Amino acid sequence: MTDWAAWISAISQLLFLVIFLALFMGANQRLQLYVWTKDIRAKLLLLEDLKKRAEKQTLDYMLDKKAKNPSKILERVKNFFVISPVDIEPTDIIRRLEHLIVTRTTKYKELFKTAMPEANEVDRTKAETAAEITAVLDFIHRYVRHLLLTGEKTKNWVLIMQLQLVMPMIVQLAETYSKALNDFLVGAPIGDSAGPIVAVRLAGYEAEWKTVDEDTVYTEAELEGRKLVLVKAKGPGSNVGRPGYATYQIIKEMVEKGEKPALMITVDAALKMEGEETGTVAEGVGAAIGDIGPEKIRFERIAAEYKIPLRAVIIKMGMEEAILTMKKKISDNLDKAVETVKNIILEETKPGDIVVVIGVGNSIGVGQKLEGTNKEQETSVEEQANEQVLEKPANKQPEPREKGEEKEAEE
Amino acid sequence: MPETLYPDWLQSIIVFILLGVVIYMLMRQARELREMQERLQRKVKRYTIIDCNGKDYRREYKEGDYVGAQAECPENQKGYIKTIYAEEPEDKNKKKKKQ
Repeated sequence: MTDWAAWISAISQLLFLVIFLALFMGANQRLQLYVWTKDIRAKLLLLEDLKKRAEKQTLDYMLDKKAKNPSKILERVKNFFVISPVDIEPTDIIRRLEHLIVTRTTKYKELFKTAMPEANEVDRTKAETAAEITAVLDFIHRYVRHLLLTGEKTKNWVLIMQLQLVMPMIVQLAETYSKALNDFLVGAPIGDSAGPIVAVRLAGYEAEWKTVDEDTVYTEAELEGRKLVLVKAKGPGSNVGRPGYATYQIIKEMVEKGEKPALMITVDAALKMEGEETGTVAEGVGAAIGDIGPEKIRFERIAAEYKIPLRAVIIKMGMEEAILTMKKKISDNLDKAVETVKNIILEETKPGDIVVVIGVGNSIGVGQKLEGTNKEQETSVEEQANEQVLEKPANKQPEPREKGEEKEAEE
Repeated sequence: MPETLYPDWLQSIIVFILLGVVIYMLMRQARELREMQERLQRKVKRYTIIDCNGKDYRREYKEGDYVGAQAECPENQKGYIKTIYAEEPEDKNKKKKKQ
């Protein structure tokens, strides 16, 4: 063996020994950590970009609608938080949670009403939703940054590894929200508007709707001798209303008059499983509504209290499809959903019965003729949107406590 | 020149392979970013379907359209907006893959 070869062999062995020792001391993990961190940082830049775009779009929209101090409003919305109620003491938790949700919604409305006095209700709700989406994108960015920095600070490679593994899903979620912002500002119905559209089709386009709650409307229609009471959120602004509260009020009033509904049907968009066909219509039992509790429990309570069968019809779609402009596939299946609701009614009730149908979901791009609207002004859709603003109901009455909730509180 | 244990070209090949891997990873990251930008900028086409006495008529979506609103039918009749939906332009990459 020559001198050169001997040297190379010695250096190679030394290097091998060093690498072997470094592996025992976790050098491979550090290298891996470095690669993961770089990847997360690159995606974090993307999230920041999406957040900045959303901020710009929201501010531009608000400025276009002559908002006062839009950046200040957006900053407030971005930093606004809701502290969840105490859950180790579950007594009346639903009432407490509902109170917090209503307080938050009222605060947002006041904020935008003061900031955008010249805009109509529809534009205000759009700005409100745009600001909320911006707040979500801001939160995603801040939270990912927090996890990354915590992982780096504490050298917690497990945390960084988990974050790196879920980053594609987080980016996809942020991307969906970013697209949804465009769609909400356009004002066309989204996938989640399927429920309200079904309600409008069952009522007929000429139906006159009355307000129950500030953001929820109802009307009456007839189907082969049955009286239909249809409930939905007030449109065409971005609004989910309070369908549970409204239905509770309507049924209570009916019962006081000596009328009891024979059937309740909730119609809503529901998340499909991967591989399922978008727009598939399915039926079942229970309250089809995606809220965190207060609205859903009202449906269940009123149905249980008066022993009204509670049925559900869902239109399946992906998460992205639910918050973006309605896809043709979903739109094509709306008639099927209407037929399913009609079949349930005809099968399970008899002429003379009352059926309450609730079109659950966001009513963006789904309007209605409010009672007392001047028919001559209905020719222009934009005028009609403004007309509805004029028809705004008086301030909400204090809510009566529900029977079930009273019991809960007493316990 | 002293005789080495490995052929001279081996080192160059290892360097080229490493360079290739680095370039591939950078390109993959850049492609991901570009695809996302494209997805965000992709404009969907929105259509309004008007119910004209039971006959459906399709036109492009106009700002202010909403389901339940009165709208003009082709024969100057009054109809109602029945639905509004979006159609995405077909993905060029997917189209290529199909072919």
